[in-house]
Amino acid sequence: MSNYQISKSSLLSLKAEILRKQEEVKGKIRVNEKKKVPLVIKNKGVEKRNERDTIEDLDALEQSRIALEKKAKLYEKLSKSKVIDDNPASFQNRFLVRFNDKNKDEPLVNESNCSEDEDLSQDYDDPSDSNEKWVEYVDCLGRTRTCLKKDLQYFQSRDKDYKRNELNQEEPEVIDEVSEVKDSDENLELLSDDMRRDLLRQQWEKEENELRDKDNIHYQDVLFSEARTHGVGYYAFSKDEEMRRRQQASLQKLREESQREQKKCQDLKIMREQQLAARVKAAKMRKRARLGLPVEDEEEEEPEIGPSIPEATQEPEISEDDALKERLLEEARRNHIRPWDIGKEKVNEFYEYTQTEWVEKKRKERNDEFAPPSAYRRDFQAVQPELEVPKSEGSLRFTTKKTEKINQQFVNPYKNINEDMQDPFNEETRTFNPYQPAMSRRNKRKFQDETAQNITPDFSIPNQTFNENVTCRASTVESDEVSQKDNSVEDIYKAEAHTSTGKVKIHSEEKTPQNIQASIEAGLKFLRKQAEKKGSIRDHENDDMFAL
Amino acid sequence: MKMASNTIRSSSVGGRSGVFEDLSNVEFETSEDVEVIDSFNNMNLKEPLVRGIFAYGFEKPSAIQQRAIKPIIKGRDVIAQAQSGTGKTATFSIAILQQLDLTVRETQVLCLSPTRELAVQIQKVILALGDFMNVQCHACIGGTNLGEDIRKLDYGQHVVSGTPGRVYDMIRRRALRTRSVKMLVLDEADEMLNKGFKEQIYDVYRFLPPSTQVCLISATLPHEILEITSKFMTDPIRILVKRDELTLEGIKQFFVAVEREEWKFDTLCDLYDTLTITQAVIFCNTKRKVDWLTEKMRENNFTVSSMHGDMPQKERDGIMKEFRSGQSRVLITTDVWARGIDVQQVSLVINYDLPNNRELYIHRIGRSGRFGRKGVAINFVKSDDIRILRDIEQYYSTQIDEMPMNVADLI
Repeated sequence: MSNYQISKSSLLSLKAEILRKQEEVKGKIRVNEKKKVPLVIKNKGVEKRNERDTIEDLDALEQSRIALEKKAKLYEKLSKSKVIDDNPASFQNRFLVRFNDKNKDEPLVNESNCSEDEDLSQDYDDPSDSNEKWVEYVDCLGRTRTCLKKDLQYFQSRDKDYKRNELNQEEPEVIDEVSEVKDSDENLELLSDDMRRDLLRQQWEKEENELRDKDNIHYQDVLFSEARTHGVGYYAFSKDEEMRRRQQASLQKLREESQREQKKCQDLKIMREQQLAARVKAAKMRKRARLGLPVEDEEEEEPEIGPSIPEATQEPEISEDDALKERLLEEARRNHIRPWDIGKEKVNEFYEYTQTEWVEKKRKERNDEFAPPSAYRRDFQAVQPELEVPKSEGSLRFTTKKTEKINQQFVNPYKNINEDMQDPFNEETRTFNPYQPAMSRRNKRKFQDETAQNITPDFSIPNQTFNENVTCRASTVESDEVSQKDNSVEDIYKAEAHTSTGKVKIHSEEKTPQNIQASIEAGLKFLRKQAEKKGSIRDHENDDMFAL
Repeated sequence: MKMASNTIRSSSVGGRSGVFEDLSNVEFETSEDVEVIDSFNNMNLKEPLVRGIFAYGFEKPSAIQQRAIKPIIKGRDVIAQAQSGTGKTATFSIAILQQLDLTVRETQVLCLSPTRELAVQIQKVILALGDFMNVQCHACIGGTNLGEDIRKLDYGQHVVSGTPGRVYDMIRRRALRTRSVKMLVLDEADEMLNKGFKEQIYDVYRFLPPSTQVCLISATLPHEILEITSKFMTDPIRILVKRDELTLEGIKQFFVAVEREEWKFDTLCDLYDTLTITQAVIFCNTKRKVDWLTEKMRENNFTVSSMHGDMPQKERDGIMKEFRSGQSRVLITTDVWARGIDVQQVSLVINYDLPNNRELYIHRIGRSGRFGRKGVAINFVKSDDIRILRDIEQYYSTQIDEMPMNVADLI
């Protein structure tokens, strides 16, 4: 996907080409107006709307005039053709308008008849005078007319001629034109909806049966004559695998060719520009020489030639800090164990502690009585006052704790979140059925065992074991013990309460747990932002590489 | 056990603020650091894929496509929400296709949807977008021949799009091998994680390799759904839409007030000419009512087709094809059709009955107005339903006016 510089001349010629094509297409549309109706009848409402949207400038009046004229002509012909035919298949019976009857009802004002009538009436003044001379007769169009007895023969012979003409010339013509329009449609249009539906269903079924034996299924195979507008680059590949491959290959070839051409054009253009620049420079130098100035330094400015290559986006210096944070986040994500994953094969139920984290954990578990005497603390404070435990706690416990909260977050920000979420997490692992609160406990046990068997047949560790592991990961001893000893609901809740108070004790050195969580979240967001920024920059780089 | 329920716990352990209570108060927001890429060319996609995208008719990525494709490709868990008909299916399909290794004929992506028709449609979209890549995607849905399913899966499919029941069945029969699955996509995620489906999703999930990438996609993502995502997702990127921006400008919503239920039918008959301008979908709340209404319409010489979940799959299939090809114009159906189904020509949706919840309303009216096209939704309301309609109107900060006489001009 490269960018091309398009010259004006090529644009103009393209435009001309388009105009030419448009003319051609317009011509073609007229010719193709009487196309066969396909099996699938298109949604006319939509087509009409499209037409309205696209070709508004077409002279609608002109079109309707033409249509009306055509219709009038046809109508006239139809009504003139007086064939009373009882055969239901005859074309006259196809029309809802009964042209024959119409003729009887209101005699057409036929031009020739009309003029002759007038002529005749001039010859015979006062018909009422000589009544007996007048006779009635039925003419070829079925009309009852009166004439003088002596003229009857003439009229009848004229009628015969007329009838012969009608039959021999006009009639077949009419039939042709009508059948041309109708016949093709008729077969399909006169199909009842049900029949058409049946036909289509049969066709689809056939396609489906073919699909059954095909190994490779592609878009065309599942399209089933769906009415969908595709994009300009849409290419309906053949359903035949071999044919499809050939089509794709030829497309590929065409693409390569056009790319080559584009490159050639580009090169040519660059060359021309270079030549132009050289000429300008030469002229300039000549001018300078004429003025007697010394030759200018050439290399000062090299004008940009060719399409400006998009410059690699400036990569803002990603501090090592950010990179590290992103790496840590990534790792935290990798190490994160989802509740629904627990119990799966290869899931690492243990959380791998770093040395400091382990020490930290053990220190928390330690019975205060065995802690170094509080008196030691003062000395320590003297050495490194800034690392001291905040005084708010009030105890004088000795500690080598560093500014713990911030550091921990830095080391493993993700885990901190988990620590905050530990309690429901623990429970879940125990119940192993996080989504059915209403289930009785016994059922849950059963379900748990079932899932363990079904899903991880090779998973030999008893449930209890991984419960233990997970709780261990959650890093509080109290809940661990309690959960193993007793599973009764009340006790667990007690344990939870216990745990949480324990936790609060740990955290409450500085902040309430909520505050900590909020700050951790803020930290996380910041980290992610940094990481994304970095990622996006890298992507841009790649883009540029592709553009070249 | 712990789930014994939240209520017990919150009352008995008053002081403690558990995660669940916390989450219910947390307002989920779109992740701050979501990058916006406003052209398919800048997404670094495989060349045949880009060609497939343009061939399918996309030119410029929609808002959701600009935001969600990249993170999914990067392998992050993503929760993506966007208005109906704005290209969500294509969003994850593009990301899926970009990540596939086509030289490996193993199932690498599993895509679950709530209805068979939707699963088939997703298969179609993936095949369309990946037409130049020669991707293999199989629709693994119920109501079809088991042996054939097994054979197709045996042959090797890059992507499997299916409904949870059949997919689980195939996994248990070891016809669908999950060891190469790298991504699980839940389309219409809120429905998939609702009561009826959640258990089935869990069953399938248990067979996937740990830490499989998970993507949730839907137009509606209620809070309680977002709460449970932490159970199977890792630090997901969230792309969410506020509910007052969830209705589309392009879909005009109206109501017709009727005094009695019987009048709805007359109203529908009066509207029939409008229905057939392009294509229309009429929603009823029950299968029985669908049958009844279809029968009654046909008695009155109106051409309609109908579809619901109790029909044999073959029949459902045929009706879908007829409707997609434009052979039938008016479809009477249940909520089986409410979510995700994309027929470009549908420009009118009628809620013969009002939907049972707010989310369904969004999904139903979203069957019209596909990808920037115009659409009209008409709600038939009895006097006591007006209240519900007003609630919907307020909840989504949208406007539902009384139907004007010239409704046909809006289609």
